[in-house]
Amino acid sequence: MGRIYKNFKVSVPDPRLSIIDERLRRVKRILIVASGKGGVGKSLLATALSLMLSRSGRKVGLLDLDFHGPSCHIILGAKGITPVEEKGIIPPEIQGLRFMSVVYYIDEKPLPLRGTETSNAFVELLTITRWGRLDYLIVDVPPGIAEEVLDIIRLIKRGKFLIVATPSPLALQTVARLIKLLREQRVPILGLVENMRFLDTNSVEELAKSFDITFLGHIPFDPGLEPSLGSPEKLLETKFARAVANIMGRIDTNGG
Amino acid sequence: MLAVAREKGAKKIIEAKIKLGKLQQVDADIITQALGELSRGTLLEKTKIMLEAEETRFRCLACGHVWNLESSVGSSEEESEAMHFVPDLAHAFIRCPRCRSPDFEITGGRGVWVEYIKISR
Repeated sequence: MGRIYKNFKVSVPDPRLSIIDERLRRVKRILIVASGKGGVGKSLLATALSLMLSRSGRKVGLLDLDFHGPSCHIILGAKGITPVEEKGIIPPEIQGLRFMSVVYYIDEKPLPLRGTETSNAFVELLTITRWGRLDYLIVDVPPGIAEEVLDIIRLIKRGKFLIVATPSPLALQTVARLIKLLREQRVPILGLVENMRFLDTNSVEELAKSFDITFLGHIPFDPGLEPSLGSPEKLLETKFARAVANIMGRIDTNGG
Repeated sequence: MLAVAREKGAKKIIEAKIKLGKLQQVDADIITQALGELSRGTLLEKTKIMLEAEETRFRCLACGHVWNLESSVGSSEEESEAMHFVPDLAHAFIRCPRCRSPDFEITGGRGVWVEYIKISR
C-alpha cells in the first residue's frame, strides 16, 4: 500500500538561501566592511560611510553583523527601537538608514554563540530582513576570518570588501591574512583604508601595493571622535568624517 | 517532498508528516494555508498532510543536562518572539536549569521539516 520514506536527504538547497537572494535582489551595491583584526574602527567607518551616503541622497541600509559586540547602534544613538514584523522584519529607519542589528532583540544581554550557531543566526537574520530597494547596503563585519566572513563569501556573492587596517604591526599581519583568504576565494576587494593614522609610516599603503589592491586613503587618529559617539550630527563634523568623505568619493569612482 | 517523490518515481503522495519545532512557534494554520496554495496542481494536491509539533530540547555542553523549552524559566513574550525569528538568540535568554551555563545546544524543536512521505508508484 505505498512505501514510506523518512530521514531522507533531499538534493535541493536550503530554502533559506534562495530567500536571502530574494531579500537582497533590490539592493544595488553591497559593501562589506571587514578587517580580520578587532578595534581598528570598522563600525565607525561603516556607520559614518552609511550616514554620508545617505545624506548624499542614496538609499542606504546598515547591517551590524556583530552578534557578540554590536556597536553601530551606540554610534547612531539608537535606543528603545523595535523592528516591525511584516512577512519578515522591516529594518527601522534611523538617521535615514535602514538599520538592522541583533541588539533589537538582545538589548544589553550577552549572546554567547558557538561557531555553527553564529552561522545559523546570520542565515536567519538575512532570511528575515526585508531591505527593499537600496542603493547601498553596508555590512559591518566583526573581527576574525571565520563564520561571518565565510558566510558572506558563501551567501552574499555580490558583496565587495572594504578592508580596514591600522598602521600597527599588530594589525597588519592579520589584515594580510584576510586579504589572502579573499584573494584565494576570488572575492572582489574594493580597497584598503588606513584608519587611526598616528605614525608617519606608509605601511598600510605598502600592504595594498603588495597585494595590488586599491589604497582608498587614510583617516587620521582623531581624539575628538569619542565625544561624538551617539550623535551622528557631531560625528559628521569630526576630522575622522572629513577623511571618510574623501574615501567615499574614491569608492564612488571605483564602482563601489 | 516533491523532489523526493520525483526521485522515487512516485505516482501519488498518499500521506506526509511535517514537524513544527516549538522553538520557532510556527503557526500551523499558516503552514496549512501555504501548503494548500503551493500544492495546487502538484502530486501533493490530494495528499493527507499531518502537522505535528516537536518539543524544543536543549543539551548543556557544560554539565550534560537535557531539558525542554517548557522547563526553561523566565523567557518573556518579547524573548519568545526573538527566538521565533532567530532561534539561536536562545543563548541570550536561556540558561541550563541545572548549572546556569549558557553553553548548550539546541537538539530538537528547531525549524520546520518533513518527517516522512508515503508514496505509491
